[in-house]
Amino acid sequence: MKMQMSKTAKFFLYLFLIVVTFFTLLPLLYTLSASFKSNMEIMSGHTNLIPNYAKYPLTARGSDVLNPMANFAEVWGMSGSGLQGTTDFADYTINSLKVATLSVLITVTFTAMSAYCFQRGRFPGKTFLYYFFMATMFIGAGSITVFPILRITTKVGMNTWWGLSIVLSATGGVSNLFLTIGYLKTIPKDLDESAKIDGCTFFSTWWRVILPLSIPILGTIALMTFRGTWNTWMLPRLMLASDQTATTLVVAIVNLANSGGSGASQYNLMMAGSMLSMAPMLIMFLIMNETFVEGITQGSVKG
Amino acid sequence: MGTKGVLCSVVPKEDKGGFSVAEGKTKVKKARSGEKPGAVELIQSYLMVAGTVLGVVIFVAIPLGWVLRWFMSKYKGYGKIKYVGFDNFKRLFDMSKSALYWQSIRNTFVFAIGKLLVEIPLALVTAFILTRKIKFRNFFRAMYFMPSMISVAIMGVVFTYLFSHQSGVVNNIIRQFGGKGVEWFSGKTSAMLMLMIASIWQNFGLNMLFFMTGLQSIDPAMYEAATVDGASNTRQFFSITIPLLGPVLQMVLMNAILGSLKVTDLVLTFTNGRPNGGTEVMMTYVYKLFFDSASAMDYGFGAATTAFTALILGIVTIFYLKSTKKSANVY
Repeated sequence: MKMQMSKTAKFFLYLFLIVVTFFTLLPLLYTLSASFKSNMEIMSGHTNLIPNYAKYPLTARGSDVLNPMANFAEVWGMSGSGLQGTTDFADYTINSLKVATLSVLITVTFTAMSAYCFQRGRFPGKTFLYYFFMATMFIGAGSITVFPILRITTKVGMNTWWGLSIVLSATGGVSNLFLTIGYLKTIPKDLDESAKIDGCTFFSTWWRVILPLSIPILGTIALMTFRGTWNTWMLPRLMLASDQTATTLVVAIVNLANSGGSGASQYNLMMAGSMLSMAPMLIMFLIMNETFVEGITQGSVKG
Repeated sequence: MGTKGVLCSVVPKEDKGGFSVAEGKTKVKKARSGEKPGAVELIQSYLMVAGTVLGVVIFVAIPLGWVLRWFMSKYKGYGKIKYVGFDNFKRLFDMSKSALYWQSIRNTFVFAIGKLLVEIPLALVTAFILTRKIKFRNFFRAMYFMPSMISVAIMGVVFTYLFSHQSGVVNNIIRQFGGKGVEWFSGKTSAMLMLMIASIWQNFGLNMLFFMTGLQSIDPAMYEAATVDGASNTRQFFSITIPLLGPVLQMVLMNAILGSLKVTDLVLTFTNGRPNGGTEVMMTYVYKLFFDSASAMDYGFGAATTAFTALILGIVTIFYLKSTKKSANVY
């Protein structure tokens, strides 16, 4: 598609795009910048992005040596309650990884199977189950059900990282199922037929024919689920509250911000913490930008 | 396989046994008429679908029922559960007693409408520009989408810093240009505006991506024909792009509306209802009835508001599905 444009039109077009880029980038850049500044410099009211270490040196607590990583080191050495000299943040990171990985496995497995059933299956109650699934998800998701979920999981001892993974997968939303069903529609029915003639059952048709063919969409769902569970806040905050080291990175960092470090707002530490949790996602995105961008819209539009 | 293969691949027109909400019933029947599924197939189907269904029953349906059973009771989380009939609903519909709840409903809709009025056109315009062959297209696309990668809760923390009165970046920039710093968190309008900005910042890139896929599926020949007929770019946009984008537009709108009505984490970690309930939304109000300090806890009234909030969401969803009827085909 080519658009015939005058030079002025083109100028305004790019100006618009650049302005919008500033809008999206500035918050991230200032977060990054603040995580390398001393709190003194942040409070000084300057708008420079590059830290001015000559005027506001950043040093580790009780030291005179300039250390640009001091904020990160301080956050990493904090416990959930702000005390120094622990490895709690390493625990939080591992927790986040564990929760996200297990959620990906559960979500992908069950979405792949149920989407196949809804798209190819022929069993009584299919329509009912499908509507039931949609209706419940649309109404029930969100904070409405958080309280009872917390009660139920605590009662049966599921307020652990694996319990959280199961809950997150179960409440993950309808879009995964929609996406996979949409994708399965594009796989020709002839394949099922010939598998059947070769003696495949309903399950083995899926296992040998459909599953290998749906790897691309399942990869997308894995990526999206990883992003979602890594970023999630409310459920881990409530479900993993029993033990100080049990929670996830995002929860720990929001707690850090709420407690404000030690008294006054320590924006440098808040932003360093935020960078710690954002960085893995942003790096993953910058490396796999195409996969993400294509994946997220995959199957969203058909014909 | 790339997106192209998925998005543009030819979907067989006679999609026997396929599933769509609009015509689900007739199609299922059609497929069944061929041959009856055997016992093995039935058992396998039920087993394979069981995991997902059980998950939804245990962690969505039962919790809903669990909380709703209190809606006719007075229960503070301890002591006896007392049956009070419709007292909770009387309190709910008594504007003087539950003014904050009604305010939160109003806030929710103000937030949703206000932000979508900017977010959707912005997403549409950027998508329209970026589907053209222009330089740095992929760069712009990546930059606009990047905020979607960040945790909503962390975003609340980041924006708390950006908008803080004394040392926030926004006020610093305003002061740099000779203005006076705004006390963002203390004004109702400014606090709401802040929430909207944060939400638009995070979400418009995602909606843009959906629009871009929709736009790419429009046959370029349409535009060529229109150009030959002498239609201007603006005319083409309103006469070709918008109508053909219909289904995608509907899907994006539904996701965006429901998403904004359910906004929770952002409000809790960002304004947390400041000032004085001025940015309290439906979900955070309900949430606080269950989780706030012991004095505010009220499970009975919480259950009643949950029921009513679920009803609002249900009505919006049904209204939406009725008015479009095609959402399942779009997905």
